Amino acid sequence: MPDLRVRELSVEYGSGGEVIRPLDGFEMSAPPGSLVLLLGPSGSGKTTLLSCLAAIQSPSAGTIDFGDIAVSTLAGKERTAFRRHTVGIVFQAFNLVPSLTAAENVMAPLLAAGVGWAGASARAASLLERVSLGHRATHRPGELSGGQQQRVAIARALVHDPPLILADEPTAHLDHTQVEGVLGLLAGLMDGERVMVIATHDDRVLALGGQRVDLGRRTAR
Amino acid sequence: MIAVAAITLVLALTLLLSGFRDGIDVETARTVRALGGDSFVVREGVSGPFTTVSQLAEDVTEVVLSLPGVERADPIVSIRHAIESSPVTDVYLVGARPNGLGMPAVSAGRQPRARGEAVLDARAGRKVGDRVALGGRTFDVVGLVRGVTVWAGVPAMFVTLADAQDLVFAGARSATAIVVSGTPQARRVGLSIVDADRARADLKRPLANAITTIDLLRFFLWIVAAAIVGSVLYVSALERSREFAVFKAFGTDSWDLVGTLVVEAFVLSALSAAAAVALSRVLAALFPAVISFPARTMVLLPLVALTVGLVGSLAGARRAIVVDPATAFGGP
Ligand SMILES: Nc1ncnc2c1ncn2[C@@H]1O[C@H](COP(=O)(O)OP(=O)(O)O)[C@@H](O)[C@H]1O
Ligand SMILES: [Mg+2]
Repeated sequence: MPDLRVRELSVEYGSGGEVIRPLDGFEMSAPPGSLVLLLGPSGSGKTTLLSCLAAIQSPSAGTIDFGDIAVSTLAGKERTAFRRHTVGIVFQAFNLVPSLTAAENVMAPLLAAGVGWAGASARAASLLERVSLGHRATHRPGELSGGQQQRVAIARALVHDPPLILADEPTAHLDHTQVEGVLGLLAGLMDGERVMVIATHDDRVLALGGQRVDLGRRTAR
Repeated sequence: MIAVAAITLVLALTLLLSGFRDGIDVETARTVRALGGDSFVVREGVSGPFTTVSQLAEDVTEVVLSLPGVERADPIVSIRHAIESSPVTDVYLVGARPNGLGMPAVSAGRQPRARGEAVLDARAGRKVGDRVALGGRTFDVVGLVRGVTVWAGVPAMFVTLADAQDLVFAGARSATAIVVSGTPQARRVGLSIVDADRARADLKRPLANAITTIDLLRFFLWIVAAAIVGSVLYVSALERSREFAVFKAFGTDSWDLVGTLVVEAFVLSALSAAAAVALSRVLAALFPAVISFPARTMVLLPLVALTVGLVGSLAGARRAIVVDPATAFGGP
């Protein structure tokens, strides 16, 4: 039963003497199978929090636990394994590799994790089907709309069927016709015990429901 | 891929310049060999048979023939000349006895036997049956030779000794050198013996400054080629910083990224080197001068490309190791 618990979390950025503390004693918890919407204006620390949850950034103080994994203290191989198998990330800027096709982009994390070509290829095909882009598998990101690129990115985040999904402003670079498709897809990911955390300052995302955590209020000065 | 194209082009140019430089040696050796002798006899105080016109009596041939070690000797008259045409065709004129030393084997037609007949190197762009004007006379082209050129592509022209004596010595029975097969074992006052090595050096000497310049250019071009290969790989690694960040965010090991980069660099360099070899061979046909690719160059090029490719990929590898996966969260 993996639940997400964040205790006393602080992150400091020291830039030239001045210390910025976007997260200061932050607390949050999410039970298995729940959705968390991180709200707040730009600069309120949403991305910083996601980065910590993904074991990409190490907090200055506090703890993050996901089920029985102490995320904030992971290091070395365990940290790599956590990033690889436990989290799926959807980025604001999609971050597809421009020289690879949609299918190859989805396969990339599998191949990097040592899955064979045939297995990776079959998995990518079924995931692209799931995000309704089966017919675009051989297209490169440049030939896809923003919404389609983000759907490929969602398929990529799902390759290892991760129990934790993090999305950073997944709709920020999309126009309104594309937002619906992406939101519908994200809503469809809420199954079983999966925990999903979506950072956004886009009101359209509120329609997904879930627990709202407003970072803007906490750090307002 | 634009990187492969850029690297291929610079490697091909490097190969061509290298080939041009090596071609000068090949051309010189070929031309001296075409004259058929093992050594040359010239007037004492003359550096060699090709670059200075100095007069010897034609009868000196008999003296040379009487020296021990000499199997055969024939006089030649050689001088730089030009065919009157527009544009003017520079030639290296050699007068020699029909079937004698100094008269090369033809690849088409026959050797000149009578006055007013000539054999030209194919580079002069003339055919058997053409007529050319030179020094106020006309010559019928009766035969062609191939690969007998001097000074980076100037074609040789062969005529009878008598015609050359008319053109150069106003008909006097003189020679500029005696071509000898065998090596004279004795000396004669007033004559020097020039072996094939010195004859080649003599033929090449007018290009000495050009050769020094080309050698320098070639050296720098190799460095430039190396720098371009390295920097193309480095820049492409910079461009891919975000890609590396994303892969690390997905839990790809830094060392796996490095391995991939090194393999990529290796493949890229190998492909470019192969393409450059092919391209330089195609381009070489466009040049009038002899372009030669000795085995040394063919081994050196892939080695340089691969070494520099790997060094260039190390810069990218460093990128892959230091890049912060958190940057993947940033905007585009
Ligand atoms: N690498 C960094 N170095 C210094 N300051 C940073 C860095 N990353 C983010 N910040 C600062 O931390 C604060 C929170 O940023 P961020 O987490 O990106 O907020 P959000 O995602 O809500 O827009 C901002 O003031 C930002 O300038
Ligand atoms: Mg952000």
